[in-house]
Amino acid sequence: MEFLFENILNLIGFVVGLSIGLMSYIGFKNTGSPTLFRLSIAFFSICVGFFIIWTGYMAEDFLIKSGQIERWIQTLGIGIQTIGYFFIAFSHSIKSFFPKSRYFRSVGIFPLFLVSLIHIENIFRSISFILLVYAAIETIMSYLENKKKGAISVALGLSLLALGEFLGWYSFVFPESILYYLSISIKIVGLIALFIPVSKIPLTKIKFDEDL
Amino acid sequence: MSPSQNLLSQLCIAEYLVTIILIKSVRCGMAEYRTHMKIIGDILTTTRDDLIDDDGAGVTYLIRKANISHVRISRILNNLVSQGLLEQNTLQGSCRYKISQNGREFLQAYQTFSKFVENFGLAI
Repeated sequence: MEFLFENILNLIGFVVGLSIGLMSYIGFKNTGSPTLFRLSIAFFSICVGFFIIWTGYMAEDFLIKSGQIERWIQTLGIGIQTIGYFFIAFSHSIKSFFPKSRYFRSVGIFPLFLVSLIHIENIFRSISFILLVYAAIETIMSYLENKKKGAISVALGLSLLALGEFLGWYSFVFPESILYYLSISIKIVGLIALFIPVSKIPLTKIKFDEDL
Repeated sequence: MSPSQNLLSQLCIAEYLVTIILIKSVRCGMAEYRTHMKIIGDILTTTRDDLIDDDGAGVTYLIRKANISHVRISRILNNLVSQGLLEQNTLQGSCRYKISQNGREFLQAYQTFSKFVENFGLAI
């Protein structure tokens, strides 16, 4: 059951990451916008991260058959996804992400040491959670300023991914509980919500760069 | 990891997030920052949609429409002409600018991907 859920999540993550990454890259090639370049890196990283974890599960299922995915593969995949989430947050001007106050800087780093010395994977999950919540807040703020409806769906998607990471993090504390399946289901819904507004962009009218 | 450690770390993260929200809400009241791409989009849109006559738009007209300084717009116009997005004509000693076919295609791509990027709460 765990393998099935993980495979569905990772395949959807791979497809959504690849689609948005490709679209951003096409946009970057046609306009030269640095924002689209950062989004390309972000979503290609997310795509690669999900793909690595999916490959790990498939290798385990058909080749290794030890009953559990290799921990380093999962950590590598989550680490690469975290890079993707960093670039989404970075696109929103990372300046306000790191507060100037020395007190808040120390508080910001504190949880990473407290929680995650046991597993590197936990460190990545906690960083991903912070980055996703930050990006979701920025997107909601942007919606309040511009009233673009697509931003609600993206903000919802990012928030659900953050909640999924949060619950996934808790499932380390309470293993074998329903939290794990809840986390994966929420992440799947989050990825779909992220893709909805992007799928509505009419690419057919654009004459693409011939070098692409 | 003990539950108390976990709870403490969650509280720290919550505090950190509240800080971010406060910083953002302060920043919300500030004037909108226009990116270089947005200025180029404004100039190209003006030369496509807001021309008074068929000879093209003069620098003064573009300065007023795009709302930037003369020095900056001169640099951008030279760049756009050299990249083939604008056509430059000299009429009675003054330069006039018209959008080219490449410029129209670029502007269409710019407008489509602006919408794409706005979905993420970003500016192109």
